[in-house]
Amino acid sequence: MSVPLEHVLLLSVAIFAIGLACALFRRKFLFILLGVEIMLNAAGLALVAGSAVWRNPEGQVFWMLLAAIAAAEVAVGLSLLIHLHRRRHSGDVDELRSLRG
Amino acid sequence: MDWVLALIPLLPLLGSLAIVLGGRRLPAAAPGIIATVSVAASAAVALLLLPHAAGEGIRSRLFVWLSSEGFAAPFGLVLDPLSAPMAAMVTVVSALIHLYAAGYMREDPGRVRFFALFNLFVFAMLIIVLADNLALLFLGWEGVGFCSYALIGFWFREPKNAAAGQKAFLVTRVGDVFLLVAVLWLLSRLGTTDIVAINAAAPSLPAAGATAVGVLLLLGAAGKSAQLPLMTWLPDAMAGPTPVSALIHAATMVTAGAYLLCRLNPLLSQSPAAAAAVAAVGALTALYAALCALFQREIKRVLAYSTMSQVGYMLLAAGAGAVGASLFHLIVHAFFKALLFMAAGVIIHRFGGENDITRMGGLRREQRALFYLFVAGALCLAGAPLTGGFFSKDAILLSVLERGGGFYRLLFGVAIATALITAVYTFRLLYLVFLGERRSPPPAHPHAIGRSMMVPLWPLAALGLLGGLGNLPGGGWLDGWLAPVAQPPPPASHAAEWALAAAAALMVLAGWALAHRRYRGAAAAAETGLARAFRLGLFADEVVRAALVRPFHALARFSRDWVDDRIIDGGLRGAARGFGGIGAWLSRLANGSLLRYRTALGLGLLGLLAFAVAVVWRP
Amino acid sequence: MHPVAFWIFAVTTLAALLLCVTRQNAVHAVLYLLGALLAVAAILFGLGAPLIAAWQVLVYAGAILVLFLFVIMTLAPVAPSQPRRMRALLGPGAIGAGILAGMVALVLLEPSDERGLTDYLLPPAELGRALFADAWIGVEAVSFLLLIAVVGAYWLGRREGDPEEPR
Repeated sequence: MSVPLEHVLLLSVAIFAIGLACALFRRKFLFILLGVEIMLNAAGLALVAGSAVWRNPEGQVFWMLLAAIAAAEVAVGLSLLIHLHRRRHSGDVDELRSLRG
Repeated sequence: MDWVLALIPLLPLLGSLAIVLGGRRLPAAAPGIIATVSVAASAAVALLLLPHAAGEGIRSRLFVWLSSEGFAAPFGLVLDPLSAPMAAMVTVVSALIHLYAAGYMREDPGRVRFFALFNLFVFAMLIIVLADNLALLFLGWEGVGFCSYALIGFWFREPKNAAAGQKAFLVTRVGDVFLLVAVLWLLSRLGTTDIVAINAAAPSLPAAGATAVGVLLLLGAAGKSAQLPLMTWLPDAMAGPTPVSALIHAATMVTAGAYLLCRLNPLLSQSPAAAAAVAAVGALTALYAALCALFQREIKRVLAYSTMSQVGYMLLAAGAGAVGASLFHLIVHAFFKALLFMAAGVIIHRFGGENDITRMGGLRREQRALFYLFVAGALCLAGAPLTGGFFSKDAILLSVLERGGGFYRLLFGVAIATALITAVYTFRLLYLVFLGERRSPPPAHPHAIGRSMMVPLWPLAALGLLGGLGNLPGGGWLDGWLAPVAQPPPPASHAAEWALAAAAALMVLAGWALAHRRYRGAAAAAETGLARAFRLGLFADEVVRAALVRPFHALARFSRDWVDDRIIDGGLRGAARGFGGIGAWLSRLANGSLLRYRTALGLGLLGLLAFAVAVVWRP
Repeated sequence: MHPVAFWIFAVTTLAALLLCVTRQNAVHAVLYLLGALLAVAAILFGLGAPLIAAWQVLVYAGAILVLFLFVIMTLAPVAPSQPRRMRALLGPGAIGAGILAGMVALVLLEPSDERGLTDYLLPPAELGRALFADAWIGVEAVSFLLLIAVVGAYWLGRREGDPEEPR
């Protein structure tokens, strides 16, 4: 490879970190979902890089499955967002306190 | 043929089982009859086998009871010259007392329990008598202890009775521990609990060890035989029904200690120090108990202390090495003491449940037969010449005197003095109960004394009076019979024998005279301080209470309040509180806030990633 | 691919993402994310996964992000804003410039046959075979998951008064 694997992985980690920060430190539910998407994408990048280095299709296969999972998760997450928005008229996470048993 | 020997203890055991299993369904008199018949059958077997017990005797090994590496304790019985007369006495006297009890307990609602226990007791006692090894003997030892506890506290609904039973059990238990230590030590040293083997191997023991074992055996015997210092239970044990007192606390259990010391006499005599200790304990107890008996008010307590005193004589003889004399006195004493106790039961009945002798009197006129019977017993107890008691006590005194040495001469003096006091308290009892005017009104509804209660008294009187024939001085039959298992008594000069007999007779007459002067007409005068001290057994109970019971209670209280409550419970409570606190602190993590959960999720994720990196890190 | 091209795309991605996560306006954030995903797609292409790169643009950027936009618009319709200052276009402009530069670098630098970061290239046919022959169980599982997601999304998203399940 003309670019060392370490660099690609470093990029992947950086993307993941940004995504994690977005998910942890934003107050709107939407941004949590966006953060998750970014993290998933970072993982996919690392997977494909591994596939390239070890010349194995499995990394890319997994990326496909991962993309499908991300899609499913986004669907449910967004409908959850809609549901919450209808109930409380705000997408604010701070309001959500009743998840206790 | 040897299984016949096993019948002797087994018949009463079967009787007990039969009573337990079927007692309730059978008619009211059945338990008493079954019990009496089984013991009587056992007595018949014992008497029939008596001639076969000479010399080597009969042995019977039924099965191996305990067995482990290098040690085996069989269920083995032996009928030899020592155990045969003892077994015969135990069974015959038991049978007579059972007959008495059948009448005495006829209407008691607990008679099934009573007779079952009574028979069980006889079984256990016979095990002690007939066992050929100390392990089996210990089984019987514990058995009589338990039965005694159950029978003393028979009317347990009255707290006093239950307490008396408990006291008996606990005090004798102390003695039992010493006996157990002795048995175990012998086992570890000699590798066996077989009595014959132990006696044979006795010379091989070191002097210190022999003395230690001897002292331990003495303490064990002292517990069961109510000798100093473990005697406090016997006077209180009179709370049980009269047949119990007659059987257990006159004829059988209290003599088990003396019997044990006779059985192991070769071992005991290896240590002159231990033997001397035995003799000393016996003599001192005899003196102490006689003095206490002199000042008792309750008739059965007089007899209880009297028993303690007479058993002291038996121990004195055993310590002096005179097994024959000890056994002789044991057997004769059983006869007349059982008689006296059973008569006391009738007497108490006659006075409507009153047992304070200062309130009795004048019974001679009402109950002539009872009077004669009691006189017979009293004469034996006092050692009046030509009675069985006279010869047996004389044999003991002679053997102590002939033992030689200043120490034994001192004990002889104690024994002679005790004989005098014995005479005094015996005649005191006679005068206060039977002679003079009746000091309390007759009971409103006197129960008729069942014939079954009076019948056994006659043979016992006869045996007591004539028992002297069993071992006349100067080579008696019993001494000859015991020759294979016991040392023969030292030969004494005729002059010494006659002098001693005269001295003993003198004591009896002097005692009678003193009692006559003091107690003839009046009832007891006001009690002096000294008299009260003796009546209370020289405050032995108080000494035990202060020295043992109070510290024990204090320790128990301390354990409860400090160790149990504060340390253990407090520790547990503290631990529980700690856990509760941790739980409460942790539960703050789950307060329902999505924000908090999100943060936790993120932190956990980072942690996992860090861990994964650390695992695969290869610098 | 020349490392320079890679680095241009990488920097673009990070810049776009940083801008994405710091926006207040949800639509802006989504659009910046779109840009980032495009840059990542180029890198994926360079890593010898052309189908993956196409997938990234079509599905990830094209479907998922569009879904985001739909939901944002549904919940809080954005009023048409006033004409904006030119300064506001700095961010998107930079991202777009970055992508463009990367593309240029991709083509112009090292115009050899080797166009990727690696010489490993997985044709779509091979990927398909690997996916449906070897990893078919994953495919089945994920399809099931999608079914569940559909049902769940429908259920969560219904309004009051929507028809309930038939009894």
